[in-house]
Amino acid sequence: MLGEYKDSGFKEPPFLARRADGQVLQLPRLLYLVAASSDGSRSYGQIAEAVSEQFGRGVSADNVQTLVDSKLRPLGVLAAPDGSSLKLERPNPLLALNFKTAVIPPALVNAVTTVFRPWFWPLVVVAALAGFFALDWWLFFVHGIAQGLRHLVNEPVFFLIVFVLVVLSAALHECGHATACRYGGAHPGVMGVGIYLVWPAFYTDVTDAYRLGKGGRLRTDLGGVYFNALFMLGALGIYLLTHFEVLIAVILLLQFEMLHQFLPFLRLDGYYVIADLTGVPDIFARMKPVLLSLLPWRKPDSRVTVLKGWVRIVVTAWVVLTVAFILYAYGVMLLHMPTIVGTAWASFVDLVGGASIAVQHGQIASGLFSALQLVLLALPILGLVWMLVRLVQRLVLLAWVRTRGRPLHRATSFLVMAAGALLLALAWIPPQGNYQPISPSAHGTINESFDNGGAVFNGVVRLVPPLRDIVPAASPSAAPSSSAPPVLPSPAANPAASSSPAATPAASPTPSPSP
Amino acid sequence: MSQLQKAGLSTEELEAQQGEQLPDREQMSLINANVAAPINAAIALNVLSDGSVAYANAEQTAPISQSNLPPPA
Repeated sequence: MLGEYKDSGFKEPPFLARRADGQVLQLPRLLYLVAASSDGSRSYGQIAEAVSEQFGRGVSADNVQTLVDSKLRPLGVLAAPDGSSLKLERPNPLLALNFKTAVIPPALVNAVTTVFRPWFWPLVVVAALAGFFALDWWLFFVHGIAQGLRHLVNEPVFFLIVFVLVVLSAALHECGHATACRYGGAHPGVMGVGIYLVWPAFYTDVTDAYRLGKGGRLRTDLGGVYFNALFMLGALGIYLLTHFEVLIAVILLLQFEMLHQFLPFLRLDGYYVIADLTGVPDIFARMKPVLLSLLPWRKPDSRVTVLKGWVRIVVTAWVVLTVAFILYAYGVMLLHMPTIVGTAWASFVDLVGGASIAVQHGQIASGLFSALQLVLLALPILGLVWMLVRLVQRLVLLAWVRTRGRPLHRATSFLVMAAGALLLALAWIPPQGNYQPISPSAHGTINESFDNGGAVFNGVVRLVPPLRDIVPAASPSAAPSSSAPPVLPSPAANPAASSSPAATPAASPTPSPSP
Repeated sequence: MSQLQKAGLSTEELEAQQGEQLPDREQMSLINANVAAPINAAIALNVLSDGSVAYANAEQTAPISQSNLPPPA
């Protein structure tokens, strides 16, 4: 039993419990009191007596039995009368990390946090933050970024150094989360690797941070970028000693990564900051009730009305913006899948050619660089395919389960899915499906991202004879997409834009503020 | 049994007691060595060319007429 969820955004603060399998549960106070009083030796009457005193209202033995049988045992909080525990499936939340593999065990993670702990001493934090602001001022107003980037552009082998430093910085980011979690009094779990949407990612299990107060939770959220800032200060120190300009490019790149981390619509640090500021532990789970509560003819859902007034406003704003962001990002990605595939393929062919030429000429570093880029190119594509497969699986399963015993609903939902599949087929089959790489003339503006949508819509209209006359825009001339005109079979000359796999939309299909 | 306990809670009150499973908190760092974004930003700020000058995007808005007739004498 972990106690009250502190500084919560709920009118009645919820309580937290942790199951034997590590799953954390959010319980209302009454359920928590019953669970905490159930030590295996007390009768229902004795539990009722203890709970009544703490709860301040009368709770009968029958009430306790009902709560135990219908609420606590199905959740796995309490064991069955024969001592057995239900084997419950862990939730698979929306937009979660996939292909997780634990690499560093909790004992080692805790040992690492002991080493880094002094970095969270208040005076050290203040000094480090002052140093970081001074770094930014020096970088952008005194030294400038041009030479760092010029070295990088002129010497592609430096990309290997940049990549290694970015990976190191990401690892240190995780140490920051773990150390902040431990500093607050919670115990971090494993560290590992996985794929988040389309990006390879490191992760740290800081589930135990739920038990911390708002300050401790926020420290855990921001510990990662704080350690990135420390990494940058270290890189600056080495730069001042060596004048190795590539380090300036690394610092610049890490600043973009920091901004990326604050994107609040995915489960990145920015999302956790919002969740912890509002005191709502799982905002993603409230998307459906919040949206349904916006309908004027529906009574607000109890999962929304339990929130404090200002929290409800913030959560509703977050839900609306997140839904718009996800629909747009997924929609554009699906619509432009042919261009993504075309660009990735062009990069693949280019990289294989580059790698083989480099190896033939004995340029091992260049060959390794190309091979690394091939791996980095393949990972996002795999992530993208996995994401689509999971999406289709979820939709089909959901439609099948939710419409059980209602043939009309079932037929309608599958018809809607078939219509969606038809739209995608139209977007992916030429001429609408343009499998050329992204052209140098494409800007990738939001307006441009809708161009293909018009062509697909026209394609649908042309398939339905009665609509041809009603919708005047349905002329075949509008079909080709202007976002990816068929030009340039090979990538551009700029190594940063052409051979970096992440420069393809496959690596960043979502309009995020950083790569 | 105390007087307090005898009153008990209603079925609706018991039904309203809902627990929920919270997702694990997995704080991530994405490995994204995409240097295109800072380089593009630098190009947009015009810092990568020597002696760089601001890019002017002047548009021709006045109408220009053209003909094969010789100019008036």
